[in-house]
Amino acid sequence: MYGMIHRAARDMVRSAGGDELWDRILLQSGLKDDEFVSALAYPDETTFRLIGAVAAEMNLSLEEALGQFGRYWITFAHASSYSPLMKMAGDDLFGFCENLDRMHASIKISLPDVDVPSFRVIETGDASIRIGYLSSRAGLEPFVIGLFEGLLDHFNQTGEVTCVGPIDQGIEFLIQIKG
Amino acid sequence: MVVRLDEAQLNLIFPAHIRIGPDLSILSVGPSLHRLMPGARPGVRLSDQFLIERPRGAVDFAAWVRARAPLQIRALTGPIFLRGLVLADEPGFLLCVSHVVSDMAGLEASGLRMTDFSEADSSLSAILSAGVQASMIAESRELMRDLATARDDALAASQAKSAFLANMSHEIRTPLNGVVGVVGALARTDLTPAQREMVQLVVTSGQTLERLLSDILDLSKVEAGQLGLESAPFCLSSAIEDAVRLMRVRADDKGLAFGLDLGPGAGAWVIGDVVRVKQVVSNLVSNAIKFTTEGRVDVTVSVRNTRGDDLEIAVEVRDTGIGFDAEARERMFQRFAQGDGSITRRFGGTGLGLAISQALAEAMGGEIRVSSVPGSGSHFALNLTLRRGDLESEIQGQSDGAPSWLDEVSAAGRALRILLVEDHPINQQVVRLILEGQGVEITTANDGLEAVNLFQPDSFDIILMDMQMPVMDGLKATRLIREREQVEALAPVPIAMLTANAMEEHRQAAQAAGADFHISKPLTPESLIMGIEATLAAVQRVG
Repeated sequence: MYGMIHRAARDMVRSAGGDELWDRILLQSGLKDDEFVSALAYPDETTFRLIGAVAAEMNLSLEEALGQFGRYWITFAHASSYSPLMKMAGDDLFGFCENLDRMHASIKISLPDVDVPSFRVIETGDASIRIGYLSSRAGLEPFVIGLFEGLLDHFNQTGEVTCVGPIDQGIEFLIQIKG
Repeated sequence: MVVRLDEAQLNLIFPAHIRIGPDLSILSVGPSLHRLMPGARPGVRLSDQFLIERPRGAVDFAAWVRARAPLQIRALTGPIFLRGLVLADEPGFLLCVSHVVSDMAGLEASGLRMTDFSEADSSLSAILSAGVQASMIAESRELMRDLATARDDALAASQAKSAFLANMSHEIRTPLNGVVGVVGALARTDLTPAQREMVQLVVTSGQTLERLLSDILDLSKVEAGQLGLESAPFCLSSAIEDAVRLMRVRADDKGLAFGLDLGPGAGAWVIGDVVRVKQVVSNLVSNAIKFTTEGRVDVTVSVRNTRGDDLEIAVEVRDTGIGFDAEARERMFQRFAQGDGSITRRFGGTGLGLAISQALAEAMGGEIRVSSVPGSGSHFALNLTLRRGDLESEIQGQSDGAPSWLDEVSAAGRALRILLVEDHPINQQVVRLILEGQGVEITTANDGLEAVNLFQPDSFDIILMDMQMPVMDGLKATRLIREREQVEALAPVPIAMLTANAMEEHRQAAQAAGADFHISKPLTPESLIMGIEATLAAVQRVG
């Protein structure tokens, strides 16, 4: 994964437990400062080691850590220099989800070494979106759920995100907006 | 082949297209421009909404279409910037354009959305790529800020360390002054052989401590860039002989042969810092003896070349000791590093000596070169270029040198009157013990204020002034005494700043306050007596 993920994890940990917690996680994961360059691609194993250390030090299950991280990812990206690009993706949850795959496809052009997932809107209802997620990585469903929950927050919506199950070559998620 | 697009297809491929009539008024616009520029509506002239940047000048659209020339237009208000081609159409012209983003900072304000770009348009990827670049620049700035902060923190820590070392030097030198001074005085009394041996052990230990302290202080000076160098004439051969005199004894004690070869030109007078030259040579020889268990140590001094008044000097030290390999050679000039960890355990030492020597050699414009074969000894060479000294003036200077005060006071028929300004009772006692029987009369002041109050015209022949004292420090007291002398047109009394602050900045501060000389603690009988003589001589010279 690319270094921006690592930076986001660092920000999340620091905002939750300060430098002391982050130092413990660095120690446990064995990651060095040069593994936090946003535009560089790092082996997935490095990222999973980092998330594993975050879960262990924050007393979370791996699923919980991934979920928290997914939610934080949206906040982090919006606060970063990628904010204008997020804005370009859409002014509401529906428009944003429609452009999610295009955004990732374009990132793949900018960062060819990065293996980015694909998102496809299967169906939209008045208050729901069904999205297909396709990735070469397994086990990141909690992260994707957290990511969509983060998007709900970002667009000031409340709702529920569920992992419906396998579809075609990927996994289907359902976002249901409430209120 | 002619491919015709219906409106839906045109909107999909060129969401930002504009269709204009032969009179250059807008006939219709694509959905993207319609959203972003509501003013660009049918019937409005193109030039009322856009600045036409390409083609420049008067536009002949028919010719332009034939030429298939590019088009570049910019909204008169707002950040909309478009580039593309003009294609013929019926009944007008079709401008097939795409959004251009040249300023990432203005992207958010532009109102552009991904849907404003067709899937066939690579502009969006370029914008995202620019976003990645912008992110990297932001990260680089953050990194530079972090590095600058880390550098500032490191510098602050280094300065704090230097200040700590300076303070510790005072704290350590004061009691060391007491130990060395009292023992020095004790050694001058009648002692049994056993007592003399014990006293000698204390003296040796004190000297070792003093040397360690000096090494650490030298290092702090090097690190702080405060290594001040003297520049005075000295005889090269005499200096080297001085430097190796004690070393010869140590070599004898270890059963090593010791040779000193004063080669061609070694008797020259040169200008430089004799103390530092001796320190480097002494260190090189000391190391050679330390790392040689059998065989010999040889020192050769030569002037290798003469260029005008500049003499290229080499002091070489060869030994038959353990030697070192290339890896150890890389490490040996690093601070606190010796050949390897076992060296420290076997031979002791701080590992500072060679680092300091190298720094001193470089500060004097020279270098230390080394070569060795492990097990077959080492060769160290101190290469310096020093200016030829003025022998005549130096000999003259020596003959004009300070006379012993004993001669002077016996001629005057009274003791040398000393005002000792020192807050520490042990240090007061040390000075009294050392000067006992030296024809002196000592008056003691416990701080600078007492000294200023005790000072009267022609009341003392010399003042020994401690620098750091409670109530009033030595610098202020010296300044007040000098001010009074000036106001009352009194002859200046010789003042020696007597202090454990061995840093160059303290010496300069003493001089700036009006002191004539600086005597560094810990005091030995020799350093105190020589210091007093030097202070008296300095004032005589000026007078």
